[in-house]
Amino acid sequence: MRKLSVTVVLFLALATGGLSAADNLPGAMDDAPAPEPSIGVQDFFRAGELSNPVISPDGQVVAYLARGRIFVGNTLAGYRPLTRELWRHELLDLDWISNHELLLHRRARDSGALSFVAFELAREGEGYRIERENELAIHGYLFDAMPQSPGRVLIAAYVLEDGRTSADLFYIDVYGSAYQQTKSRRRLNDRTRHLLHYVRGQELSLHFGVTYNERRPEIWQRDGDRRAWELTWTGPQASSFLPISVSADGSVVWALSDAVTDKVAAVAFDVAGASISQVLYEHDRADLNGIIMSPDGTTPIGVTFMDRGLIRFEALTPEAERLYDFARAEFPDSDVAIIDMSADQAAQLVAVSDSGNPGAVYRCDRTSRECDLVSPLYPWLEDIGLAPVRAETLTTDDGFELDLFLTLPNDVAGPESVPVIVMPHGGPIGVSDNRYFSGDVQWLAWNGYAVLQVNYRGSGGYGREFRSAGLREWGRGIEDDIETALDHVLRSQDVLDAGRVCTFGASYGGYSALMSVIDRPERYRCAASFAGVTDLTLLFNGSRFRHNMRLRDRLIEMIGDPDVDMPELMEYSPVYQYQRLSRPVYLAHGNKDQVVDVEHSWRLRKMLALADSPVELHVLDDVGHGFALTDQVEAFYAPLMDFFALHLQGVGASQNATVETGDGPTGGSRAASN
Amino acid sequence: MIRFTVLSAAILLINMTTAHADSRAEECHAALSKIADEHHQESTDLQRRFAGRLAELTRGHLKDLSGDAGAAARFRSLVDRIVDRGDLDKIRSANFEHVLSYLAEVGDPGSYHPDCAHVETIDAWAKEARVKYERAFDGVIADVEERIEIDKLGDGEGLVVVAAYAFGYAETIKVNRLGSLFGGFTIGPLFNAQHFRVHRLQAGTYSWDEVTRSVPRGRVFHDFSDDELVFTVEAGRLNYAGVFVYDVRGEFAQAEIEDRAAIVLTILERRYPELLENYEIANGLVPEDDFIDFYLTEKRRLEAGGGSG
Repeated sequence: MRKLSVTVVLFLALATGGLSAADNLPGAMDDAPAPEPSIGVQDFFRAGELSNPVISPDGQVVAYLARGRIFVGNTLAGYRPLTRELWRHELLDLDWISNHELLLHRRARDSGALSFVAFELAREGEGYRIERENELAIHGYLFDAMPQSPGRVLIAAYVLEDGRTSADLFYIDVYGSAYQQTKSRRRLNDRTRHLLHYVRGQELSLHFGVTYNERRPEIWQRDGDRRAWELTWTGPQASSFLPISVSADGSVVWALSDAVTDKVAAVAFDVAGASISQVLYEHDRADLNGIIMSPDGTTPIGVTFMDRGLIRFEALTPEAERLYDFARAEFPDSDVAIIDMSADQAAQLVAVSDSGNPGAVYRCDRTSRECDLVSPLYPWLEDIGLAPVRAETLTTDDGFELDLFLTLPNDVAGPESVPVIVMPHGGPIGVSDNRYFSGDVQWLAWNGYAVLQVNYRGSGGYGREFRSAGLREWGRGIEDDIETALDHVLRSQDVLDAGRVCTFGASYGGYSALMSVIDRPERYRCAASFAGVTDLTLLFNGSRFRHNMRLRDRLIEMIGDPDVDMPELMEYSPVYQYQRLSRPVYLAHGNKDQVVDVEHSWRLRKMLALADSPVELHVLDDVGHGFALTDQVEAFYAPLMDFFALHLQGVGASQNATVETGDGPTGGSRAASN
Repeated sequence: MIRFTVLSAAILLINMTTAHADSRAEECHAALSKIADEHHQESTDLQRRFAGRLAELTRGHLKDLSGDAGAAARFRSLVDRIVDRGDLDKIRSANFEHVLSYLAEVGDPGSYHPDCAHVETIDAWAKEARVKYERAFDGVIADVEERIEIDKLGDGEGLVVVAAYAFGYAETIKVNRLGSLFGGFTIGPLFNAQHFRVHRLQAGTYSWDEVTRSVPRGRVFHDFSDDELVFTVEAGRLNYAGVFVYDVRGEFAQAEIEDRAAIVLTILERRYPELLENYEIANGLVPEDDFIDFYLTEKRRLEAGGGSG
């Protein structure tokens, strides 16, 4: 189960983040990437050169996903495609299940169905070929790669019953029939308790499971495989409990949980006593996102977490202290994150990045003390010199510590020369920004703008109290935090031009941008919103939300109850405050957005047009709550950059009018300026 | 002598080839001429049938309105507006005159020698133009029929804005009246397209229940009757019912009713301004949603010179 912890690290290290991370789809990238004659917006949003790199248990072979294929190789032979392009599926994850077998996890682009493909590899010259492969149509996730049992894995298949998701566990021969092997009589658990996570004991016995009830974790245990499950522990509050591994004698389950702490901590759960017996490690500011286990998987030796926007590793044992020593010594001026290791932890895959470099993945060998490049992540951006992202922490008047990230463009002419774009993240609850490569931030910086991001109250990764502090603070405390951060950087960075500030975000970030301009029109020149919420009451109205009590309750917790708080919801909705929106507004919305319906942008556009206020609405065909293709990103950013150029640099002609869109219930299929 | 013979054979061959080419060109010109005649004839028939149907509909409804001069005048004006909005002159120009003019140009033996291989393509293009022309006429007729239906609004009935969009193909979309075997209706087919009509329906509660579509091996039914995709209709009101959105991906399909009041109001303002003037709107989807009232109140206030600040 070591995979669980490193997966989290990998995601954080390689996530492109931001509002517009585009998948690497056909047309998004040529087969052999060559330097472009000039840099354009698509270059900032193309998928990275590789994702999901994994090292074989013996440390000899590295595999990764790139351009819809699996690549396999090693330092000496290089890395070559193992498969053809698999464009009909989104490639989600890749795991070694033995030294010569890979398991690919994928999602069908048309139906969304999850499945696996197992590959057995054979040497061919210096490279590898597929000896055999087999598709497993199982809608679930890899629970245990069981590298000591070639060809065998444990797969958890999702079950949706009575509105609750649980998982059935199956012992799978990866070259056999998924249909035959996932019949109900073959499952290792029983389905009586809707268990979602398990801890595997010796052999295939399952005596420990986790489920959630009213968002509280419940631990269920049983004495033997055929005994009934018993509820032995219930979390004292809404919280998480993610089992990572189990001690050698089976007496302790190591887990990540915030059941008894404010931050997600590494805890020991005493199996016999059925309680959390020890908090191994709790960071003073950050939720943990991973536990690194010893090579035999029985002892926690380190933890990982995000600290001021970067992944940090904290060793729990003297041996673990040395895990990072070699990689850090090799790259002393860079941020280093271990993303996978061989079973003996001697061979490591390491993500390396620094402020001006989008990053690369290396294979480091602690025994031979060598690091070799596997691949740069964004080679086409290496020569342009990315803008550095600076982190600061400040304290609000009411005592919250906020991380803020300021990205300044590389070419700064002098004092008060740089216009600023404030970019609040979406969510808002449980989501956060970090300092890793973001296409949105770097594209704006490349165009000469400073970008300010703020992990305001409610953001994820800072514990329950901080996260809860954002509830029902839409348009209030959250925006106060952003203003505090903005005032701070305008005071402290003399290159910023306080007279040229706009705000731009997606989803909640779009809402936040609009509310900030409503509250402080003197501070901002313009606001831009992609897929932004404009009417809090409308969030409850689609059939998807009206008939799903859990979603509705969650929304009520976040923004208020329309049955009792309607005046307040309207007071904090840009639509009903349209008369206070005196600055130019840019709205863009996908007509297939299932999270924030396109109607949100239409409502605000309609009200602003009524008042003859300057507004542009761009309805984007076949776009959802984010972008899937770099073409879509380009179509989105082209008019937006004109908008910023006009309002922040005085370049271009004023549109000062609404943009007409098509005449249809989906919000139209074209956009034209009048 | 031998040389002469060869030369003669060559000349003979050239003459034969030229004769063949001439014959082929004549064949093509004849085919193009036939296409032009057909296009002229069938397009003229379409226009004639359209004019006849429009006159018949107008005459019939004006007869029904004979006791109400004001209503009759409004209806005439509406029909004129619908015909104007149909942009029939532009559609005629593109699909009738332009096609004939092109056919005349390529069919002129003195100016152009078409490749016979293109004749079929040209024929298909002309047929497609007639389909577009007919569709435009059908659209206008459907709009007029819709207006006549609206004018027949009876006791216990309400007007309902029925809006739907299909991402992918929906052959039929069935709406049932809850608690009644009758009173439902069906729309479609829609293929990446919208339906936007004002229907006259009995007061009550309605449910978007079923979408069907043909597939190579038969028909697929997607049953949404358990999804509570419902709206209500109040008598004597213009009822807003949201927008039914159907999305099919491979074998999977989903349907939602989205609250898109601003979009629906925008279309109503463009296409049915008199309905907005004459009927009070009832929100049959989310009665507690204040947006429609808010918008209409603000609009009236600003039009009355209330100012935006």
